[in-house]
Amino acid sequence: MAEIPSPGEPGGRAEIIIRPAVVLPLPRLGELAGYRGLIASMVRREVRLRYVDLWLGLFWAVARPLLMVSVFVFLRDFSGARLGIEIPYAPYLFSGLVLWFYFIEATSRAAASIQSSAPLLGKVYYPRLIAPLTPVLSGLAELGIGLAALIGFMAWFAIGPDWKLLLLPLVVLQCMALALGTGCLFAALRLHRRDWERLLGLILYIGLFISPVIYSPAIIPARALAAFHANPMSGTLLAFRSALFADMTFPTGPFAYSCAFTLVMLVFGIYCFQRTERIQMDRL
Amino acid sequence: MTDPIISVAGLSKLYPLGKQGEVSLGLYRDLLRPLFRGLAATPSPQDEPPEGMFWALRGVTFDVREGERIGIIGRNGAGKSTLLKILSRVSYPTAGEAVIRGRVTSLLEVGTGFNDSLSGRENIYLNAGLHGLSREEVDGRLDAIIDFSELRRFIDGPLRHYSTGMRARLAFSVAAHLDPDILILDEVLSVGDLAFQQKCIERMNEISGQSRTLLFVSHSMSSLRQFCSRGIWLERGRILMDGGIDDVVADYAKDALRLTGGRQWDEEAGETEEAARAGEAPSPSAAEGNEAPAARLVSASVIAGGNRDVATITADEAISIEAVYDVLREDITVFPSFRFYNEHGVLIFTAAYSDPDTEPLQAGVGRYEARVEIPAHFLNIGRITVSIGLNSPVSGALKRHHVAEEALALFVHEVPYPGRSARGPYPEVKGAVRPIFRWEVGRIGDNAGEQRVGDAASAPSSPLSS
Repeated sequence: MAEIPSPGEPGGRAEIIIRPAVVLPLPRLGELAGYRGLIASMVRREVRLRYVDLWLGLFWAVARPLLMVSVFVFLRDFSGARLGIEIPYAPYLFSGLVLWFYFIEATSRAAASIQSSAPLLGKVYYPRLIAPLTPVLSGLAELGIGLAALIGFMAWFAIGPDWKLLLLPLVVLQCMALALGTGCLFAALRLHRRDWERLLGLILYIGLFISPVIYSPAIIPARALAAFHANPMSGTLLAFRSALFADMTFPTGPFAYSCAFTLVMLVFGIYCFQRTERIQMDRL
Repeated sequence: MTDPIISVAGLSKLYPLGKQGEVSLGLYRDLLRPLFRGLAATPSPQDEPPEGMFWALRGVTFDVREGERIGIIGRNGAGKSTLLKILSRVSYPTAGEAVIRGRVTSLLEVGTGFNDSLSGRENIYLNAGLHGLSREEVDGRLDAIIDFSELRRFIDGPLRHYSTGMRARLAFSVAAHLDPDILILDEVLSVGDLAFQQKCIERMNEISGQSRTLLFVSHSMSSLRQFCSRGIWLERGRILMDGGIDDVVADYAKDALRLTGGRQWDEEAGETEEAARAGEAPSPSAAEGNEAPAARLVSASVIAGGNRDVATITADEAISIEAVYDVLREDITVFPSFRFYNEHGVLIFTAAYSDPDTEPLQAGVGRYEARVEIPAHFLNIGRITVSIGLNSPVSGALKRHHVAEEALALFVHEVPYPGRSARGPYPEVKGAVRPIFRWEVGRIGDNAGEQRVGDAASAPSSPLSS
């Protein structure tokens, strides 16, 4: 499949050329833009389905991080552990959990997207990249709800953001791109063996404990810090907190690394995804 | 516009046989070493398929002109669905190319993406969006779609409260308003409420005149004849025949349903090779008793519209069944009879020579020809077989000289829309025969449940009696 103009293109005669899949497939970003209406519909559908019962949906979006916050706060208080955090623990933890849960949801659902969209993908043509893109976008709704709840925390503890708040969209965008890239890669690998899905689940599970979600890198010994920051989510989580809380410095180095890693992962992930495009439907 | 609206050239698709997991497509190698794997490595359709693979499509080539309505026919596994999938871009070809010059809508199923929890309205947006309509385009058509579906009262309720029929209506309504240049349909019109389907077809005809191009796969030979102008018969991944829809359907039916519009019997054996090849027709039980036959069949034929040996007819055609036979003894009178069986093996009726008004049948040696006319709108849709018998009444009993079971086999198609048909609004009418009856139905009162007050008084007001 070569150049495919968007379906809504004015001027009538769009020419569609159907050919065997090419060796180096490039995602057709122009085509994707032409389908933005469909992307919006799909995202809306996902969000609507999550919040069919609006209040219950909101409850679950907040309940999970909130419960974990209470558990960890008690653990910290009873154990007297020093976690090296500059700001009150509850908002620190809550903000970390909200972003972390967004990341694992978006990544794992993007990785499963070919299977879950198979009934659609097998019946109608649309750019396949929309499948992993949809959960990455629709997950933002839950992230937004979490952030709204976080405002309550911040008011309670009387802490707030400063100018660094302007960096928040950049941080979220990087997190989205990382989720999309990782999701695309595992979506492609999963077509070959389902074990890859297990591996991704394991990575995301362990990730919660090796990323600065429930503690701060201040407790990591200096010689292990490089290894700690090799995790791309490490810079993301710290930058996210820094954008939200005035008292935290922006982790320029780790975040720059996160962005570079994300770029590589995004390109490689989408590339692998596109490579498998020609066999996707025949495999399901 | 001189370019064909669809050009398909050498389109081929290789599929693994059997379980998909067993054939490694070399995914990892595929992912990591793309530059070392040229396209030259892909097999060409001229080659035998690699081990464990088969050609689902093999060098399919055809052009479609704007406005042509193409019916694709073939047995299961002939490659019809693969072809539509590739042209719909949900699957890639292994080799070859297709160029589509226009906006395509492909309905491989109706109501793709419908979700139970969402309202009818939201499902319209989603479904139309999947078929490439922008939100603004749907906005402009929303009212028309809802009106067309006749579901305005329910449109904001969740789809899970819809009946199957209502879902189909909603889906068809969206489909009827997609307004593409090229429409690809896979069997979808064969489900659902027939009257509503007709409405969709009319709507599609109405908005596009003759400029709409259609690609239609169906097992229903009647729908193919109804909607299509040209037929493509696929057999094991290749095009076996490409021509006028009536010819293609007739030949396909003949082949697939073992139809025989005419046959001849050998002088000696009483059965030709052709008859033997048809397989299931048992050899004519020459005669009861061991003596030499007193009469035997020479040939039989179905005659329709002036043509002989016709194997496929439409329900509104009158046909004649003709039998030519030799009488070999001077002292007998032979009465031909035709038995008509449907595809369930049920004897529908027997046409036995019985007309008291015509001349009594002559007796004596000679060659005779008998024809019986079957009126239009009498046989039901489907495969009909005709057995022919040559009989003589002998002292109260029947002497069978020659019986040819399943001598002829023909297929009766539905009348092409909008022709008159006994099926009315139904997809099919059950029964051994399907005549058109004269009906009188009218309203006799303004209220449901209203009783007639005295039959005599109300009789003149009956709409049926005037």
